[in-house]
Parts: sequence; structure tokens; C-alpha cells
Amino acid sequence: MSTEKLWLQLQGGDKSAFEQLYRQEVKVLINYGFRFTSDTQLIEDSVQDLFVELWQKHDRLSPVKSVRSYLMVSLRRKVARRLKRNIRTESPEEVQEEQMEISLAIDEEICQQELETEQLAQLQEALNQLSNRQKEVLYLKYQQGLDYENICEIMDISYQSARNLTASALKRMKGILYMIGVFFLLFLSTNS
Amino acid sequence: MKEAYLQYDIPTLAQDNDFIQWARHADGLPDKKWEEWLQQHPEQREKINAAKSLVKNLQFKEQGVSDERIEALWQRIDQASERPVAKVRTLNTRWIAVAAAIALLLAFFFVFNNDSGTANMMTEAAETKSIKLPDGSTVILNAVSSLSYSADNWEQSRTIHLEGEAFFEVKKGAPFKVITKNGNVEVLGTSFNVDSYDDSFAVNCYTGKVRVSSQGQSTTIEKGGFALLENNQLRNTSFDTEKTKDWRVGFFKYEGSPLSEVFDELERQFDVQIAAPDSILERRYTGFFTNNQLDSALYLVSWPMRLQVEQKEQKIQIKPIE
Repeated sequence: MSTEKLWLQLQGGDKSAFEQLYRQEVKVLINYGFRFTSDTQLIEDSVQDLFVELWQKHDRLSPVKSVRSYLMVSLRRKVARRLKRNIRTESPEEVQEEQMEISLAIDEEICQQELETEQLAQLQEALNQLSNRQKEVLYLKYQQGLDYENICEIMDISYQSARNLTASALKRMKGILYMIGVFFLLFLSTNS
Repeated sequence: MKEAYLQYDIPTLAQDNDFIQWARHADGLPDKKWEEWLQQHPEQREKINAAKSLVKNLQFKEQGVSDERIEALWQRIDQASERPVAKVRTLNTRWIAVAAAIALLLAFFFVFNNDSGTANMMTEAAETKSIKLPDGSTVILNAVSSLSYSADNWEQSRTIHLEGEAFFEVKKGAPFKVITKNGNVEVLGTSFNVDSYDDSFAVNCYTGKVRVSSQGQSTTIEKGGFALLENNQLRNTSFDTEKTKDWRVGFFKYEGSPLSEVFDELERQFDVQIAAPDSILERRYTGFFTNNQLDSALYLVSWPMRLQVEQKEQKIQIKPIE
């Protein structure tokens, strides 16, 4: 069932719709949480808070344009708050290291080219030099397939900055791929 | 096909939804229009391949989330949303033992006392409730808070579970205990306020004497005393009982509190959703608002903090003024 329909039923207090909404969206949400921290417990607590609140105020929920982006915005805020609270209690260095761990999956085609492991490591490292914002925008656009309208709502930036951020991230990626020759290999493989 | 594709550079092309779809499913889909287009414009092939490799490499490694974890998390959510007081969190073994003991007692209790039960009260956003307890003590429950107690044996064991914030006026009698997830308060007969929203824990004593304990520490405060959990330390300070108007009369006062706390309270009092950039959530606010008018409350917070407010029905966007 579509999330939008489930949302409507949730507004009407349908518990099974609530459960189904949870089951449909939870993986995406937890994975989105991993963009900010590797602390599974913190993410799950945030997801719990999010859904408990959703149920408790189900009769006062307003209609939303996209259920998924609404949930993602809420989760992002809850995770951010919990992370900020931790900064106060833990040493700041510790928290910094945890922020936004990202790994990009290496395309199967590249693996078939039997890339040197050294090159793979280089690629991974170069990709991780993208800023957190750049990684996030790429994640939302390419992994979640969200459009810019939703992305700017989730990331709290303007439409134009979302586009600019994506463009700059893609330019850097292009440079990185080219630099280590992956580009060339791929170029050959897609031509043949 | 758009004419403009001819002029697109690689990153622009890689952002085009139509292009992304084709690049991702190039093998399986019967969509031939890109192939045809490439045949018409062979000079575009290099550009197309570059953009395609970008899109194909943009796949993030997803963390596997096991079905067991999803199920366990659902159980937590299900329980917490059914009984707002019993929010299940990570517990250490000692608490699990205590919880098990309580569960056993309760089970016993229900087997032998079919007509007895637990009283639950909760408030929604923009709502406070005044509750009379069996012994005549009163509780005023702030917005988005809940409490529960067992009405049986009330005279012997006056124990209340609280989530959120409440003001208590306790008649003299057996020990009166308030249990929250962040700490406990024990009294004989007195009036006091407990704020245990989220991670905060703060107790104001208005009359009498109150024993406050949290995280293995405890302290006793008397009239005008204020106990606060800060950086895991239970601090003991004071406040003016005469001057402090508080949430019971719709008055919310802050001294150097993070904006995230202020926004939380605004959301609870006016039943709105506030979106604000992370960068301002930790900024400190000193001031107050009252809960009768949203406009003026927002103004009282945003003006001194140099923030701008945009409102669309229940949704409020707050940003720093550039």
C-alpha cells in the first residue's frame, strides 16, 4: 500500500496502518540515521521517539506532501539533538570522528575489471573527502531517489543550494574517478 | 528527448531524473530512446558514458538491518505508544531485574484482583490537566506529559510514574514518590515541580522538604530549593518561590536555555511543528513566553535571538536573519 494512503489511515487512528508504515519505512530511516552516526542504539532510540510521537498525535497530523521526507526530516532532527546532547557529556573529539561515516558501494563493473585493491582504497578515500553535506545530498538524490523539492526540505537549504551542492559533489567525484583511471576502464567496458 | 541534452555538461546530465533511470536500468529496460538518441549524436557518447559511470558509482552501501532488530524495535514502539508511561529503553540488568520483579507482582495482582487497575492520565500538546489523587493530593500535568499510579493501596504506597512535567501538591501522609526515567523524588507532604522531559531533570520545591535522587546521587531541598541534573551532576541551587510564575499559569521562563528546549516547549504548548537549522539549536535563550498567543510567543523568542519566522498553518520555519 502506498505510504500516502497509510498516512491517511494513521490519521484516522488505524493501528495496523501505523505498523505497516513502520515496517515499510524503518529500513530507510535507520540507514539514513547511519549517515550521521554509527551509534545504532542512538538511531533506534530516535526512530522509537519518532514513531511513538507519531502515534500519540496521530489525530492531529497534518497532510504532508511526501511521507518519507516528513519522516526523514523528523528523524534527522531527533538524531541531531541526541548527538548534540552527547557532545556535552563526551569529549568532543570522540563525537567528531563518529560523524557521517560514508562508504560508497563500488560498482560491480569496476570490480570485474579487477581493479587493484590499492586503487579501490584510493577511490574510497577520495570519496570520503567529500563534505558531509555533499555526501548527504548525493545519498538523498541517488540512493533515496528524492527530488530536489524534498531534498531541500530535509536538509533545510534552498532549492538552488541543493542543486549547487549536488553539482559540486558530482564534479569532485568526476575528478576523482578520472584521476585514478576508473573512468577510463569504465569507458572501455561500456563501449565494448 | 530534450534539445537541451546536447548542451548539458556531465554533472548536469547526471542529475537529470530521466537520465538516471536509464543509466541505472540500462540493461533491463526496453527504453530505447537514449540508444537512438546516441546513434543520432555519436559525438555525445563520451559525455554520456562519463555521466553514466558517475550515476552507477553513486550507490551507497546500506547497512543491513536484521529482521530481529526491526521486530524488537517495533515491540518497543508498540509498547511505548500503547502505554505512554512505560517507555522501554535500554536498561541495565539491575533494572531488568527490578522490572521483572514488578511485572511478577503486577501479574499476581491482576490474577487476584480482577477489579483493580492502574490509573493513566496524559495530556496532548496545548493542554494541561489538573488531577486529584485518591488522598486529595493534586497534580497539574503540563502538556505532552503522562503519569500513572496504582489506585489500590494508594494510602500505603503513594507512587507515581511521570513522564514530562508536573506540579505536585501533596497532602501529609505516607511517603510520596515520583519516579521518572531521569530520577526520583520522595517527600512526605509538600508542593513541588518535576520537569523530566527528554533528558532533563529539574525539581523545584515550593513548600516542605523534598528528597531528590538521580544517577546514584541524592540531595534534599527545602522551600525555594532547586535541584537540577546537569552534565550528570545533581546540583543544588535556589529559586524565588514568590517571583517565579510558571507553566501552571501559562508562563514559560528561560535563563540561558538552549533554543532546542524552547522550541520543544513551543511545539507542546501550541501544537505546532518547528523546523530550525541545527546550527541555532544550541544557542542560549533568556526570556519568556506565554501560552495564549502563538504570534507573540514566537516574537518574544525570535526577536532577541535575531531569528526570522515563517509560518504555514501548523508548520513553522525558523532561521537566523542573514
